[in-house]
Formats: sequence, structure tokens, C-alpha cells
Amino acid sequence: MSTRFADSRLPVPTAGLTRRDLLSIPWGNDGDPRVGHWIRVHRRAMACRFEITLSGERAAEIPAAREALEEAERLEALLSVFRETSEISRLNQQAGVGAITASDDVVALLSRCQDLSESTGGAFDITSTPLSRCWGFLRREGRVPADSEIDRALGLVGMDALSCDEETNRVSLSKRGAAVNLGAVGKGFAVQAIGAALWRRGVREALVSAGSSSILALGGVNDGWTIDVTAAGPARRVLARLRLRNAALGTSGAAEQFVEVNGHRYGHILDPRTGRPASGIINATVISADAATADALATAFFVGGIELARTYCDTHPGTLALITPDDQSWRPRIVGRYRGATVEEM
Amino acid sequence: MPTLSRAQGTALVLLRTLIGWHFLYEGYYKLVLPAWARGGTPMAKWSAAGYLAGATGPLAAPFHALGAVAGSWIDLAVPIGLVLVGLSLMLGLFTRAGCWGAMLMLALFYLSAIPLTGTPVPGQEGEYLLVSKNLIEFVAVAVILVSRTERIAGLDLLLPSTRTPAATATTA
Amino acid sequence: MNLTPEQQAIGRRNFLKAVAGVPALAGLGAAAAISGPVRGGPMRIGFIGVGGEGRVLLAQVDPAYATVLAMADINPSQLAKADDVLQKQGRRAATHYADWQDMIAHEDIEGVVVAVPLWAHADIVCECLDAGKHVLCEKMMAWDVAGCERMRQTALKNRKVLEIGYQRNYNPMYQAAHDGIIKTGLLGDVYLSRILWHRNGNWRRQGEPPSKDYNPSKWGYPTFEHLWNWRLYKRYSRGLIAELASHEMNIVNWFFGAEQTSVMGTGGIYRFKDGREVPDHVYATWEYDGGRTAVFSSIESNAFDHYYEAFFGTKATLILQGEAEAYLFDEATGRPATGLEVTPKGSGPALEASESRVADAAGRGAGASTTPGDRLLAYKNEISAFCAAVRTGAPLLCGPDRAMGSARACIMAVEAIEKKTRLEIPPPVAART
Repeated sequence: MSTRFADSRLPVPTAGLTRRDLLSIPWGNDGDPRVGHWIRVHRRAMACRFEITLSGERAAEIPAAREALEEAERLEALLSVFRETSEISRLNQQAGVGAITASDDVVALLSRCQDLSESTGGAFDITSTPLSRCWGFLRREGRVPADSEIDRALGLVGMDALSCDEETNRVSLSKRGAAVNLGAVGKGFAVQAIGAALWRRGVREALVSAGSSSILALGGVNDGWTIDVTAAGPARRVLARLRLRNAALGTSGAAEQFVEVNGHRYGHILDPRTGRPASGIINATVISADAATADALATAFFVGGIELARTYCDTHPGTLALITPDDQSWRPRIVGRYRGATVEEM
Repeated sequence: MPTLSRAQGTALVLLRTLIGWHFLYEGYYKLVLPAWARGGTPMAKWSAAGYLAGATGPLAAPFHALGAVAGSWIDLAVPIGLVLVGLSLMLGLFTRAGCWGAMLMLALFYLSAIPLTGTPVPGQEGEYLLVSKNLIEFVAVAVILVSRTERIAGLDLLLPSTRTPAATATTA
Repeated sequence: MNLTPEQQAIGRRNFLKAVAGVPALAGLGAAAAISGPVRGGPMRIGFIGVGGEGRVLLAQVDPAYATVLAMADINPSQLAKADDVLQKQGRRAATHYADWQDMIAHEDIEGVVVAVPLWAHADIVCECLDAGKHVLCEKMMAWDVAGCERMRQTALKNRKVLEIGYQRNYNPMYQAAHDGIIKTGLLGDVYLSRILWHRNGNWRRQGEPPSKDYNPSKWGYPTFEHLWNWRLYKRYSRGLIAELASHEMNIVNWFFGAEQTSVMGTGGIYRFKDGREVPDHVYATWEYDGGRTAVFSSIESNAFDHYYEAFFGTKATLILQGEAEAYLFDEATGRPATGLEVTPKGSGPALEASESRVADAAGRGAGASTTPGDRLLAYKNEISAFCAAVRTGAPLLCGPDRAMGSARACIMAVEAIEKKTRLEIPPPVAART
């Protein structure tokens, strides 16, 4: 049993039998069934399960949780490309034609996406829809798109086409055929909004999650909320155990969703810089102060790898990343640090 | 030997009493098990095995070996030792022996888990580097020992051996 | 001996200093007596009746809380099955008894769990209480109101713990629903509660007597068939109402915060006309103050609805399904339902983080809760609370007072169904203690 340092300057405790392990005999609760349980309030939105987890003795916060979940529906109506009336859909419809007036939330999110795209060197790019369409043939017809098709799609990709005026709330896409898709950041944004709604209603200790890929930890008693980062797929492996206090987590992976053609595995996450599926990383998990950022960076680091993570974390303190390379080792490399997050031994 | 002021004497006796309380309750608690917490949770019989097997630090090996021995004499010896030391210190009876006993036990507890990492250990509170609460309590008992509190207050005063003409004039 | 005043003063001062530690010791003693742990190991218990329900309870006994020393059952094959239950969990074997009186007399047990047919509850429980044992008795308390009252009085007189097995009071999902939804007024005003338990199948069970010459008549069962299918005979059972409605009525009374004032009923033997004495289709409506009503149906001809308790309020609807999941539906909008799940904390993580999965989008599973609400946990909590109450006086959630409300509701309902009429339910006779 050894000490893991990796790239981390985090307090990683020495391994070895801790007293807690030996004495952690489940004695049962104090006779009160409310203690010792999680209450999960959940609702479907954005094609996944949004869930708020409260500790058992906080049942009185269920009404607040139920109200907070409404943020998910409200934002889905604004952001979803599957709804013609959403602001994003209208933006895409007006690509190359004109600008639309968007709500504060949408403008703030688009503006943040612009910043993130810049700071990740384009690894995170919400305008990559044309690329996805191009690679859609892979799934449907089982063929890899030709280089010319990819180049044509790449021509329509690029955050430079998106302009966002935070004063007037006018947003527009300058190229015809360009399109914005907030799939890589929408859930995180909704999770953050739900967390804020909970906070406004006086809830201080809760977990918010969308599917299981975007999580916000409000508060965190003892050492923090315990979250296991797992790689999906046939072997459900736990990559790391985290303790989070007032932190947001986003995770991106390709262990489950991929297509195999001619013996070659193609992941479903595309690198917007090259136009081809990202490879080399099996899981990228990011912890930061904001769930939308964490969500976006997880995708960016999945695409850009450990080098991008290092560059970003060096210049943006308060970001922690666990990047697991696709080398059968299932061992995440730890980059950066976040004050409210601890990585525990497996 | 310089005389102690009333305040100094009181402080030392108070320190001794509190450390005695600490030891006594720790020992009593282990002896009263198996028992139930007032909230309604059962707690099993106390055993040193967990602590011995969980020893860390450079001197962990002999403690591990001790834990492997399936003897329950340790399970009885530790609590009884704690109780005797606790009573001794609280009542001020055979105080010097009680102090030495306390220091021995604290030394063992400290050596079984010398904090070397300086980082928090999951499941335990605090961050310690070399100096832990056990070490501090050890030195506190040493202070009590050298201050000869048995001459200031405690049942030892009723023992003839403690009462010497010089001693009775120690505190103002 | 003559001491000078100075010598006396010095002597007194020294004596006070000598005993300076004694008050502190007394303080510690008092504090430990008040707040410290209560000595005692796991509670020693015996089981009276280890049939189907008895074995469920047996399997849920937490060994840290109680040790099962002995079991009594008039049917030896039930005892054998109970042995299997204990063995599968690696617990110590329990001594067998045919007569529970023998068990009480010979075993050093502090309490008993009673899971015998309904008609025998009152007698057995009262005798056990008089013999100085604490009792956890299965619902629905007793066959008649007089029996229920007798049990309550006997427990009070002997100052022993009596708990009735309405385990849903210990189901954390119901606790969360009550504290988070009912108490907070999320539903608005609730006028109607619908409870039901629908099954599609014959309540009569097949079974083999333990031996060819097995004769249970000395215990009041003329034939083995009477014992095995006691639920179908009026002498021993109160039918579907007692077995099924009682649980759900317990919840309605809890959530309404009141007891029923009248009951209307109808029902009969419509499908399984096989000589049974209790109806296979029952319908009952209980009224409460404030214009509130609870409607209940239990049938043996269709299982589509399974079982649930629903509360229909002016602002929202709450449905508690199968003791495992809860759903909240808004009245105002067509919003999707909000679900409520309660899962044990365990030693694992609060959540698992992983990439979004295909299953999420399809609506299957996902989220992080991998264990569904475990209704068996309620039994475990119930038994643990019983033991904790005996050892430390920690409060019970379902003592005789709480249980009586539901028992009276059901006993009166059976009468109303028989007479196909409406009956007033008088308020409880004795004040709650």
C-alpha cells in the first residue's frame, strides 16, 4: 500500500488500514428510520433523470427540492434543440440570416461557452453540430465519412461564427448551416440553476445530479459528500472515490457509447479541432466551482487529454481534473486542485 | 522546593482531576460494554484488536503482533488500567503510581500510531505531525507528577507517608 | 485528645483538601448514570408462531439488537423452515417448542414476537405480558375491540413494552412522505384518500400436514385445513380487511392525523365459492371529520392496480406505490411527476458519477439509486426499535394506542360489510396515556 501523489498537490492520505475501516461495523441507525437514509426527489427532463438527494432527516426540504427541479424544465424549454420554439432552435434557424433576442440565462451561458472555448483552445465547441451530423452516417450506415465531407463540416464549425451581446441580449450565428448545440453543457447549467434555486430556498446540504454525469454538491458534512467516479461499460469500475464540499463535478466518457467499424473503435465524442472522434482517454472528470463549467471542461479534457488539462489547471486555479487514459490501467491521473475536493484511495 | 501559589496549586489539581475523569470514563465505558446508547443503538463488547491491527507508524509491527495473539487479556487489562489510573488521579490516591501508569498507557497509545504524515486521516479528526493529543496528555501527566500534587490535595494527604512537616507547609 | 484551635483548623483544611476529588467523582457518576450507555447486550427473544409472516420477521432480526433463543409453533414443519432461515443467515439455532407456554417457562427470554393467527393474539399477548415479557405482536392487534383493549391494559399494568407490527411506521419512505409532503402542506387540502390491494388469485393455500396423524384440535383447529387456511374462517380471521386494509388504514390515520368516525361496507364471496367463510371481494368507505373520506377495495380477481395509497389534494396528488416508491403529481400543470425514493445510506457513496448512458435517455434506471426502496427494512427497523425501547426506553412508533385506531376501523368495517350497511364508529373509550 503506497501513497499516491501523481500530479496532485492535494492532501492524499496514506493508505493502510484506517481505524475507521476496522471499526466500521454497521450498528444500524439510532432506531429512528429517518437517519441513515437518502431521500431522492427526482423528475425527468432533458432526456435524463434530474435528482436531488437529501439526507434522511431533512424531509421538510422536499417541497423546496420539488420547486427547484422546475428549473430543469424551464431551461430545457430555452435550450433544447429538439424543441422548435426554444431560443437555441430559433438561433439556429436564423443562422446566417439575423439575430434573435435571448433571455439572460441563455446569453450568460453562450458567453461562458465562448470563454471556455477560448481557454481550451477550441477543444470545447458548441458549434460542432455539423460535424456530428457528418459522423451520423457512422451510426446509421456504418461508414466513416470521407475527408472532404469532414472538411466541409469543419468549415461550418467555429465559435467565431457566434456573436453574443450581453448588453442588448442579441445573439446570432454568422454562417448559414452553422448550428449551436448545448448538449455538452446544458445539463450542467441546469444542475447549477437547480442548486441556486435550492440555496435561495434555504437548503444548504444537498446533492443535485442530472443523469449521473453532472453533479453539484451543496455543503457536505464530515469530509464532504462521497461520490464514486465510475467508468460505465461491461466492467463497472470505480476509478476514484471523491469527497466533495461545495463543489461541482462533470464527467465525460466513452466506455459505453462507441461504434465499431472494421475493427476500429470510434467514440461518440468528436474533437472539434480535427473533426475526428477523440481517442486516448477513457474518462475525464472535472471538479470546479460551477456545474456548467465542470460539464464543459469534462468534454474538453476528454478531447484534449492530459496536456490540455495541465495547461488549463495551471492557468485556472480551482479546477481539479481526473483523466483516465485508455491504456487498460484504469488509473486516473490527477491534475490541479480544488479546495473542497479530496481524492481518496480506492 | 519553591512553594506554589494557591492559584498554581488549584490549577494543577484541577488538571489532574480532569485527566483522571478522562481516564476513568474511558475505562468505565469499555467495561460497561456491551451496552446501548440512550438513543437506542446497541454497541458490542469492546476489544483492543481493532486498534492493535490498525497501528501505524514506524513501531506498528509489535502492535500488530500483539493484536494477532488471540488473547483477551488485553481487552480486560486496558480498561481496568484506565479505571485504576482514573480513580487514582481523580481522588489523588497513590497519585505517583497513577501518574506513572497514565504515562505508560499514553506512551503505548502514542507509539502505536505516531502521526508522521501531517495530513488528515479519514475517519479521524485533526491534522497531526509528530505531536498528537496523546503526546500532549503524556506531558501534562508528567507535569502533574513533578508538581507533587499529592501534597496539595487528594486522599494521599490522609496517608502518613505523604504527610511530612515540609509537605504540609507547601501551599499557602 | 486536645487540639489547639490552629491544629483543628489545619486538620479541617487538610481534610477538605483530601476529599477534594470526591465531588468530581460523584459528578462523573451522576453524568454517566444519566447520559452514559445502558448496560446490556442484545435482547433475548423468543418467537411464538413462525409461519409465513413470522419467518419474515425472523429473517429481519438484527443480531446486534436481539438474539433469538427459541421458537414455538404448533406445526413442526414451520419450525423446520424457520431453522433454514436462521441457518441461511449464519445465526445460532433456536430451541424448538410446540407449546409457547413451555417456552416462556423454560427459556431465559426477555421478550417475545407473536405471529400467530389473529384470534389468538389477545390471549397469548396478555399471558406473556403477565409473565413479565415484553411483546411485539403482529397486526391487526386482536380479533375484537375488547381484546385490543385488554392487551393495552395488561401492558400498562405490567409496565412492559407492547408494540404492534404495523411496520410501515418504520418505513423511511413513509416517514419522508409524511414529513416532507403531508406535514408541509404540499398537497393542499385532501378530501379523498384511496387505498387498495388488488390481487388475482385464490387466497386458499395448499399445504401438507407435517405428519399423517397430525391433529391440531387441542389448539382449537379441528383439522389441519383449519390451521393452514385460518384466514378463511371467521372464527380465526377478520379476512382481507384485517390482513390488508389494516396496514393502509394505519397510514391514512397517520396522514390524516385523525381517526375515522363511520364506515360503510359491502362485499361477499363472489369468485371463490369453495366453502370459505370470509369474503373474497370487500369494499369499505370510512368517513373522517372535516369532510374527509377514505375508500378501500380488495379483490381477488384482478391485479392490475397492485397496491397503493393515494392522497388527492387540491394542489397535488401523492401516490405511495407498493411500499417502495412515491410519486407527486401537480394539479395545476401537465408537468411530469416528481418521484420520491428513499434508500438506505449504507457504506457506499451518496452518488456514482459516470458518463451519460444510453439507458438514461431511454428512461430506464439511471440516476444513482441502485437499490429500490426496501420494504423489508421496515421490519428490521420495527424489531430494532422494539429492542431499543426495552433496553433504553427509546420511544416506539406503533404502540397500542396508535394501533387501536386502525384495529377499530377494520373490525367495524368487517361488521359493516357483513350487514352491508353504514355504522358509526364511536371515539376511543380510554384517554391516551
